[in-house]
Parts: sequence; C-alpha cells; structure tokens
Amino acid sequence: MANEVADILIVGSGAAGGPFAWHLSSLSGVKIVCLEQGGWFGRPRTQATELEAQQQRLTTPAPAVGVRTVVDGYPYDYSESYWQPVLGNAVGGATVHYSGVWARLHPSDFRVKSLDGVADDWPISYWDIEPWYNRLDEIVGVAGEPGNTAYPPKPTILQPPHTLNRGAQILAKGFDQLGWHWWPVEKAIITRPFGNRAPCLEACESCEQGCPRESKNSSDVVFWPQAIQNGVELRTFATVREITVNRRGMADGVRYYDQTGTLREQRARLVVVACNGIGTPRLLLNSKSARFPDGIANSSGMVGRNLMCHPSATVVGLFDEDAEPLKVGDNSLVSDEFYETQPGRGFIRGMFMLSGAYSRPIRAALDRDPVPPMATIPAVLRLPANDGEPVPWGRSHHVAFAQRFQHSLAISMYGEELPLEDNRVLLDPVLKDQYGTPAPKLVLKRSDNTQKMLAFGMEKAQALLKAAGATRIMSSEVTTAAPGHYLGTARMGDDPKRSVVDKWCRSHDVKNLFVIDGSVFTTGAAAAPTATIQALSLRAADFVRNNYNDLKT
Amino acid sequence: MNKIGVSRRNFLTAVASVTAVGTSSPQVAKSRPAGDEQRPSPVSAWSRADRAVVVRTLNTLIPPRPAVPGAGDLGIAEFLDRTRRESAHVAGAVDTVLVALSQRNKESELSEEGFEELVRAAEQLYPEEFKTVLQAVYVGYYGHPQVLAALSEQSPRGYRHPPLASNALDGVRSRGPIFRRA
Repeated sequence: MANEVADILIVGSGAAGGPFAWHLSSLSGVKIVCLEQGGWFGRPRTQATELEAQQQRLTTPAPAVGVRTVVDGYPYDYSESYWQPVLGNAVGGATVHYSGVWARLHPSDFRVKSLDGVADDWPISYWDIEPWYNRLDEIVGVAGEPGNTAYPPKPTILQPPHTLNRGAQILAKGFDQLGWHWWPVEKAIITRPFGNRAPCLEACESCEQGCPRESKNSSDVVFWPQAIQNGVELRTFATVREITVNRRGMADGVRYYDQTGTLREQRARLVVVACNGIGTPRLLLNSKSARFPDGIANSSGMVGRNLMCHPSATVVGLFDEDAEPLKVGDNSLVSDEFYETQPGRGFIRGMFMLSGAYSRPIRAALDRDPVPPMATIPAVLRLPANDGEPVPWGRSHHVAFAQRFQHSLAISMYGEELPLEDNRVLLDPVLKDQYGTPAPKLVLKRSDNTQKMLAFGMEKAQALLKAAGATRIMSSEVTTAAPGHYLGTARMGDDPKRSVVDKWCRSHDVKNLFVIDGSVFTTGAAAAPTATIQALSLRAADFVRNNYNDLKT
Repeated sequence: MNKIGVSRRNFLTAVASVTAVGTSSPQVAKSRPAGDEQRPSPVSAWSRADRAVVVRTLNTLIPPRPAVPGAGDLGIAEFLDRTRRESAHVAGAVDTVLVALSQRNKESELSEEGFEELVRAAEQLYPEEFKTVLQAVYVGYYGHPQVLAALSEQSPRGYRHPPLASNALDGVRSRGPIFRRA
C-alpha cells in the first residue's frame, strides 16, 4: 500500500480521525490510509479486575503536562501563552487520557454573535448537528441521567448514570441550598455491558491513564479495531511534514517520516487533517508551496488564529465530613448554573463547574500528579512542572495529608474563551522537531472577559463550598495547565475571507482537503469538546460518503 | 542563631567547606549542574554514613504513622537511590541536599529537633533541589504497598455508592429548562 495512491488519507487517529476512518471503512473498494505520529497506547488488553484497576489508580500517575510529550510528541514554544497544553501522540490521541466527560454544546454556543453580539455564529446550529450527536451516543455508549435541564431533551437512550461519589453528595447539598443547577456527569463510559466492552467498575478512576477495562469511549478502543478489520491501513509512528499539492492546487498527498526517520510520500485523492488545534495549523502552515506561500488552505489568513482553550480555575474547601476519597473519584457532578450569558455579570458567555477531590494519595501529597524523572525528557521538550503545593513535611505531615486527602473537596470551573485573532498558533522561527520541521509557537493571552469570568467563577465556587459545609477555603487558583482542548485555529464559516473550512469541514481553498478536528470550532463554548469533535467528524464523513464520486475526481 | 546552635553563616561555611574538600563518600558529586541531564548518575551505592543520613532525613520528612514506619525505616532510601541512578536531575538534587546535611558525621549527634532544624536549613539553602528530593520521597512513600494498604483500610474494596435517589434532582427539575433557545 505504501506506494499506492490512497483514496482517502487521514492524518491523525484521535478523537476525530478514528470515527471518520471507521465510518468510511464500510465503503467498498475505497483505500483508506491513516498516518499517526504516535504508537498504540500500552493499554492492558485484559479487562482488569477491580483490584487491578484500583492498583493502577493508586500507583500510576495520570498523564500530566509535559509527560506524554516525552514519548512521541513534538516541541512547542509556550513562552507567550498563559496555558500549557498537554500534547502527545498515540492511536486514539487525547481520547486515551481524557476523563470521559461527555457534553454537547448548548444551542446558544452556535449563536454567540446573534445572542451576545460577540465573536461569530457557527455556520451550523445545534439542530444541524443534533442527529450526529444522537448517533454518536448510540455508537460509543453513554451513561447519564436523562432530562438534564441545561439541554434540550435528547432522544438517545442512556445507560444508567455513574453513581454520585461521597464528595459530590456533599457538594450537591450546597447546590440545592443555593438553588443552583447540578446534574450527575454524563460520561462516555459505559455502566452496562456494551458490545464486547466491559462496564466501568466505578472503583478505580483510571480514566486518565487509559481505561484498563475499555469501558471508556476511546478511539483506539471503539473505532480503530473495526476500521482496521474493514481494511483501513493505520500506519503508526508516521510523522507528517507537509501536505503536497498538484499543479491545479489540489491536495495530492503528504510527505512524512516513517519510524526509521526516512522521508516518504503518500499520494492521495482526498486528504483529511485531524491533528487537533495545534497540530493541524502547524501542518497547514508548514505546507507551503508556490501556490500557497502562506500555507495550504490559508487564503483567509485564519489558519492558526483564534486559538481557544478552556480557561479554568479550582477552588478547594476543607470539610469536617470525610470525603471518602478512596471510595470515590472526581468528575461526578456538573453544574451549568453559570453556563449562559447573564446581564450584570460583567462578562459574556459562561462556564460549567465540576466536582472533584484528590482521588490518588500521591496527587494529594504533591497537589498534582508527579512527573517522571527529568532525565527522561529531552531538554527541548521539557516543560516546567506545575508546582502545586506539596503537603508540608515533618511532624505535621500526616495531619496535613489527612486533611487534604480525606477532608477536602474541590470545584473546578471551565469557561468559554472568546476567539481573538491575536491568540494563535504560529510556526516558531527557531524551534524545530527532530526532523527539522518548524515547531508551533503558541500566543495566548487571557482576555479581560476571561479574567472577569474566572474571578466570578471562583467567587461562586467559594460560596458553593461554604454552602456545602466547608469550614475553610484552602486554595482558589487559576489553572495554567489546562485540559487538552485546543480549538478554533482552522475555523468553520460561510465566509472564505473569515474562515478556513465550510460547514462540512471542507477547505474553502482546496476542495479535496478536509479539516475535521477541534480546530474547526468557530467559538470554543465551555463544554468539554470531545462529543462535538466526534459528531463533526461523523458529519463530515457522511458528507464525503454522500459525495464521494464527485470528491475523488 | 538557630535552635541547633549553628548560625546560618556558619552553616553555609560548613557546607562550603564540606563541598570544597569532598565528602566522606567519593561518589557524591560535588558540583553536578542541576540541568545536566545527559550524564548518567553514578551507579555505586551510598556509603554507610551517607545512608544513615538519608534514612534519618527520610524519617524526618515523613515520620511514622500508625501501622507504617517513617519513610526512612520503610525503605524509601532504596527507592530514592534507584530514582537517583535513573535521573541525573534527581541525583544532582539528592547529592546537593545530602552534602548540605552531612556535617562530617556531626549530624548524628544532633537531637531530633536539631536534625529537623538542619533539614529546614538545607531546604532554605537549596529550595529547588530540596523540592525535587521531596517529590521523589513522596512518590516513593505514597506508592509503597504498606502505605497504600494502611490508607485503604479506610476504604474496603468493592464499596459501591447507592444509586441516585429518585427525588434527588426534584429541586433542579422543578426550575425547568435553563438553556437559552437558539
């Protein structure tokens, strides 16, 4: 296959690439190749017992900033970014280590300009994407409590929700007392057998280390085995340098480095980019040619611009009650009380809140997950550790540890960042990866709107913790190592001068080039993006499927 | 002057002199650059004197708790030594702190309080290195089966929370939809 022309070439096997390949793999006679920069995640291919899963939880650190980078990532310069993303590559991408929180965007998220007068409307509405949300729920398996009042009613049949942990039960009392919205977190983690996947034990909280039972929707579990069985060729440790174009300005393949570092070419009739909000603009900007001197698909100049993450903060309170951390995990309860714009708050848009606790002893002791010995991290990839505040050593150690581990509960909030053209991914003029390909540089400044939103959220979180019985607020901090949500850098829109792809994720400039990952988000919303990324991917795959004969010519 | 009768100046002088002449263990690096990640750490083990300082330091950092001895007596020194051999960064930090604590065997004469004061002085003198050491110690201690078993006693395996009470969300539901229609 290496020298054959692929009908469809996908770059990236993660949240977006997996479902796209899976959906089109049933097209007969279509050669699909996917190039993935990482390898298969070292997931135990057994369905772990409760004891094994608990041991994994207790003894294995979750991937932290800079850690996955060590294995197979690329360097990036974040010196002008307030936010340090978690970067890494693997079959399944970030779905391997996301927490499984499964949220749709809200209807208002698609109409920010119309409703709030800022940013832009998406070229699609909630109702346009809803059918793919529904299909996706049935494909990946979703557990939750029906009837969440923060969303329009959903027809999807959900599996029973994950049980509320002790900490969430304590916090729920506070929400009720204040009259605020709360709901058990909907997760793409099954609670009943689903296909050949075993249900979650609800006892290990190893979601972020790669679910040891394959209960969590992860592209390497849910989509890739079937796609490969259907004939898709997934080539791992294939680092794509650039997309190539023919004389007519159409994409005709990529150049990539294989596992041995040899530069190779893969020709293709259709090229699909699924490298997420940092990798995608980097690849597009690195794909320069006489036809596209500023990078492919970039006639608007919007490639790399409007970088958005989900600015976050965490407030921790100390309680007399025992939070029973070893019986519980986090991400058990969500609140959308402050999700929508509300006049008088001093900022536009909003946030969601998530309950949390220190579910691992080591995380409590260090106030973060440990990073591996620095010697294993090449200097160019090294990031400063998120310091945290370790439990004091000495005679007060055990009391302080018990306080933090057993009696503290946290509320984290994740807000919407408005798109700003100056927040962007650029090609770094100096930094390069191991093959000499320019690395990305992130420029991300926290806007006044974001600052006010976070301050508001922290104030509300403190009020909530106190209402729930906290005797003391232990910390209230803005987070700098935010979740791996990188959005907006190849935005979707109807206007080719203001956007990179159309509503079907197809490049305005290059008609056989698609971008299907989080970089197409017109606005970032506050909700966790995985469900929307996968729904958009399936939707784009449907478009390709329905128009394949036209597209391939 | 601090509790152990050593002024900060004298302490610094003592550390400087120890560093200048080397310690009783030749394998302890004198001036390993903190950022030197390329060279592997020396494979040789600590001397008996070094080891005694390490164990005492670990017991000071994490004292005993019910059913679990202090970190030193628990054997975290082995973990620290392994980590040190695997990481030049950790080795540099450990060796720096060790040098600061090795008062030519006089540290063994210090009282518990005196030794704790010495450790605090080392922390102030080498905050970054000390932080690295502390992280490694915490990782070893809170990953140790005996510690996890002691913590787990409060949490019997197989515990399941009860399902959500049917009326738990009544208050939320009674407000009706809170999303904006668009």
